[in-house]
Amino acid sequence: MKVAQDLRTGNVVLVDKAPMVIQKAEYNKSGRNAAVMKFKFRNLLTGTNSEAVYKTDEKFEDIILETKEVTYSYESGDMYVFMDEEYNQYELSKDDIEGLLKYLEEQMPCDVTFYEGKPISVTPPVKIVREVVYTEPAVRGDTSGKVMKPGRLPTGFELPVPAFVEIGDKIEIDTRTDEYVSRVK
Amino acid sequence: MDFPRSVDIFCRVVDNFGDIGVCWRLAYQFAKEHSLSVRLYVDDLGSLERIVPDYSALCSASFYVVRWVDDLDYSNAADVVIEAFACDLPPNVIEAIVRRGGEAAWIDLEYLTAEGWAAGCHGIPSTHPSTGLKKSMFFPGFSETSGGLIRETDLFERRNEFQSDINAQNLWRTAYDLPQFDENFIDISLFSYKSAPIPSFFDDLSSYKSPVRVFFPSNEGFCVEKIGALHVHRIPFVPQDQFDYLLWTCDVNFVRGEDSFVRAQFAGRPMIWNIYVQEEDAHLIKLRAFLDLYCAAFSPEERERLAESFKLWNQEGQTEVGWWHGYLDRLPAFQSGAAVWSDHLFGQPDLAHRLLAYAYNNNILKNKG
Repeated sequence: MKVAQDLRTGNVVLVDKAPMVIQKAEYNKSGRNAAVMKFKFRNLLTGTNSEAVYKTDEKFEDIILETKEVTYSYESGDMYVFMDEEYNQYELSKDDIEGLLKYLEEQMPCDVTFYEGKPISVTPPVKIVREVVYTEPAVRGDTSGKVMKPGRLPTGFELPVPAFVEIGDKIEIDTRTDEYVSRVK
Repeated sequence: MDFPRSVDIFCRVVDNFGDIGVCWRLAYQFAKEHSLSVRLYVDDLGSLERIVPDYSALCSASFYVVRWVDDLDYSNAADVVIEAFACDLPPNVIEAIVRRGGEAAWIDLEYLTAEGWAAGCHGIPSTHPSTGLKKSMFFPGFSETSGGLIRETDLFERRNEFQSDINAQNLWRTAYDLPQFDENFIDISLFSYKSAPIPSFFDDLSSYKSPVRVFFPSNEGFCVEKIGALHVHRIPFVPQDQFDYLLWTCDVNFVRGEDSFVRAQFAGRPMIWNIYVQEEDAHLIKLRAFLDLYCAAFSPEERERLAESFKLWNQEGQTEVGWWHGYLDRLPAFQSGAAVWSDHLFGQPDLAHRLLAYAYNNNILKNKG
């Protein structure tokens, strides 16, 4: 069993006995230190998509499916192509990797998951490093990390970063929660 | 609307009075205005008694309060079961909802936030992983697409009537041993967490050009202290149904948490919010999200000062000397904006209406599958 907070893009869970692959996972802090997870699911039996919101401690039975280490190669029309060590290529649609797009860059290492021999999703590493391509000027003297401001990644995705972060800084991000972890020297 | 006819609300008191304050208000409104059968399950009756001392007298055969104990006897789920603030329903309650064969709506009433993500999570029927029931998170909020705010149907009329009747205000003030209305004074209500920078606030008020009276509910009973221009009137804890009158009779209201924060907005008077502190300063993001909406109701030249005042009230330590003088100087302008914001909120359906309509329109009373 896994709690909702530990689930991420690419995981497959049973929801009322139906296998659902998580295409997108969003973590948000609610009140009183509680939080919620919003998932975009695809039902692996029917192919239908749905959205759902859960408390972060909701328990799910996760299904372990075959996975392979791959790297992202290129975009081909509406498909995204990943390649394993033996140069096998796996094509996935935008819907399949929606939660990954905000971090996607060439040669990014990922895990592709298969269901009945077909690639169904891609999971990013838990921690990744990305450059901040735009943020407001750093605030002098504030090194506490408590004051946050938006920081933009090369994909256009924005996340809160500490006030001391500057354009060009590389930051470590937790892909499960889309939260800043640290500045990388 | 044929359904729902009955509602169960489950509430755990975590701390203070916010959880039970919201749950009681909603339960009472369901019973009084919608004529629903309502059961309010709460684990701490003492907290309820504190904010609604006469709650037993307000109950009836179809509206009552049940102490939520560990081995709660619960077999028949209502048409709508509300799990307030992610309080985790016990297994036998979930089993009772399952026994309704999907004909009971299971709603998780969440915390109020102005953040954009909440609208995106509001009211999405989500299949419970193990039971297959649909459960929906219901997010209160300030926009048409949110779950709205709890508000009684007659609140607008009652507020306007009281605010335009100085005699009524003075009668109420007398009951709380507060001084009579006097246009030469600025009256401020103060209800905050201990972390608020009250000492520097009082320092500032004591040197203001006009006399200021602060009405300060506390555990110390009645007591008056005079420091320069500042008169601090400590009064006993104000029950929920009287708190509105305190807000309505003051020129400015300093409020905290969720319930008093909402009521201060409906009071249509300038207010400052002391937000509940969360880990990793998540509360500051919530405060900014609210200010983005709220300050838009004020004139552009007042927005920055207003937003900064909210932020300073939520920082520990010393506030810049004279800051609150500048705030009070702008009260007439802040009053206009507060009225605009209040009218905006009154123009929307309230939370109870939206929740019942949601249960009905989404057909989640027949929600299985």
